[in-house]
Amino acid sequence: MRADGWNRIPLIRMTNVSLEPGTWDFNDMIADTDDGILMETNRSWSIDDMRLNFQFGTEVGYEIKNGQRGRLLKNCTYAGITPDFWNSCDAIGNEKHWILWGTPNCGKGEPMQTMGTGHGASPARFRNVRVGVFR
Amino acid sequence: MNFHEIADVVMNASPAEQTEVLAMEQDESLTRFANNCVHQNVTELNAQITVRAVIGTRVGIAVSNDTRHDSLKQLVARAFEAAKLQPENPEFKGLPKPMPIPHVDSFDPSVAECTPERRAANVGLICRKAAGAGFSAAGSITTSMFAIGVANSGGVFAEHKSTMVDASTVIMGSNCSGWAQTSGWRLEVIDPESLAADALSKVKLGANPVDYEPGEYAVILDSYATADLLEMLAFDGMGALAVQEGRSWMNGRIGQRIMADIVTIVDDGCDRSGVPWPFDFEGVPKQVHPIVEAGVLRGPVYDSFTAGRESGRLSTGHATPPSPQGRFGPVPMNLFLRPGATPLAEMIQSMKLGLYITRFWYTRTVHPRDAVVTGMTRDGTFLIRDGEIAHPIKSLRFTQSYVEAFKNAEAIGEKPRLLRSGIGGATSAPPVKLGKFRFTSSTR
Repeated sequence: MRADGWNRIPLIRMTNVSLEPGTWDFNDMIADTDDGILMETNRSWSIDDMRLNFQFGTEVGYEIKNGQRGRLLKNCTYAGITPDFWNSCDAIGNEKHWILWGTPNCGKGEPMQTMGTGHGASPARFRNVRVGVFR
Repeated sequence: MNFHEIADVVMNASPAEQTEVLAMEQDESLTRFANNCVHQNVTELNAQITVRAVIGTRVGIAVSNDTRHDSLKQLVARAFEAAKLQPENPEFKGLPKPMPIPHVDSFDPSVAECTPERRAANVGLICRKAAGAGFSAAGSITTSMFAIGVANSGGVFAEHKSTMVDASTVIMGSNCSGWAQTSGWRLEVIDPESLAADALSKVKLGANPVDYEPGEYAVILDSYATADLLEMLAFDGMGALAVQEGRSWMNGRIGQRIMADIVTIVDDGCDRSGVPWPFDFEGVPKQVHPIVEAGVLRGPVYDSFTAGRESGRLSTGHATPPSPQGRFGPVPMNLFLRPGATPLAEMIQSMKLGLYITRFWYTRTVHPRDAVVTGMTRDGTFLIRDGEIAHPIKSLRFTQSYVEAFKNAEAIGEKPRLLRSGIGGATSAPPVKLGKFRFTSSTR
């Protein structure tokens, strides 16, 4: 529970939820991927009220073919159902690649409360993810 | 808040070449309910004073909520010191000059007098209706008073007081829900009987929704979903700053017919059927601004800065508050989608196969240049077959250009609903029938 000021009611927030690092070296993860997309930097996010169906858009993506990072892709999106998506995770980068990400403007509540959050993660690989929805 | 006094203190204390003071005071109360009972009452009274100090083309901004005279003088000094540290901005053409501002009454004393007991009585009626039908109601009722004053050293002086109410409820069953919302500046717009009936009609109809394959379907949007189309289009580029920076869906389309000819979208800050407010945060009177006229894109709204960047252009009166954090740019806060003549029932009867959607949830921009937005349907999504609602379906995700959506508008409802806007102000939105809308995934 956290409030964004002395005059606000505390709300339930997942302020510091992180993904533990795995064992994979990032370059090995790319080399081990035959056909995929490396998604970088989320710029758009949406999830349903049950936190099941989600869709993210990213600033950039890179094609991965036969273990090699290839051409730059624009307007990448990925979508899924939360438990299916996480059950499809088969590789997580090691501590060397772990970064404490987060957002400075996580908005919740009415009246709106805005707070910074911290979510650490390494790059991770997910299988059979649906990508691309509008182009 | 005595704005005359605040303005006098600021103007007399300022050593700047030009000075502007914006004062806003809000007294807002909210009663929240869930599981058919009230669980929260909050009230906040706050003020915000923003001073802009101008030296040449350098502009400094300082913000406080302390209205004491000594603090106001310190605020002026902070804005002046900030201005000295800014680079010259040759695109800044000075603070606005005074213009006649119409008086528009949008203050309802009964909102100011509304007690927690009155809000609770309205909540009680909604909850009893929900419980009586075997459902659980949640939601909130907000009543607020707002006072704004803007003055500058060039002679601008504008003051306005308004009230705002908003009531919403989601009524839930075991696997379905219904939504209703109403907003306005008069307390009488909160009709708990009508709110409960609207939400109950959806939750009763929505029991046991079935999976439905995503794809491209004709849709009928309730006012709640239509309002999202308007507000996301506003957020994604109805302001001149977005157009000037080349990130708006308007770029390359101004003057073109981009929507169906039944679509007319205007911003009107003086229409008392909305939540009127006759001037912007710079004290410039709000013009009635056509965004889209009979399907033709007319152009964005302006503040004094963005107007000053274009030869012969004047502010349309749509400035947002100046902020030390950066420029958000002008925004239309009084949007109206002009109603058509088609009753909702007639829209449904005329549809061979399509979806009837109550509202959208968690909508976010995927691509601002085409106003491509993703989001979920929520609180009642229904399949229409052969002119009748066949059965409820589970919520679907869409990824859709909102410009294209209005291009395929086939009918516009006759009864608009006024709804508090996520970008400030309020939006007047009737139901619409759209020939195509793209759903890209489903949920469980």
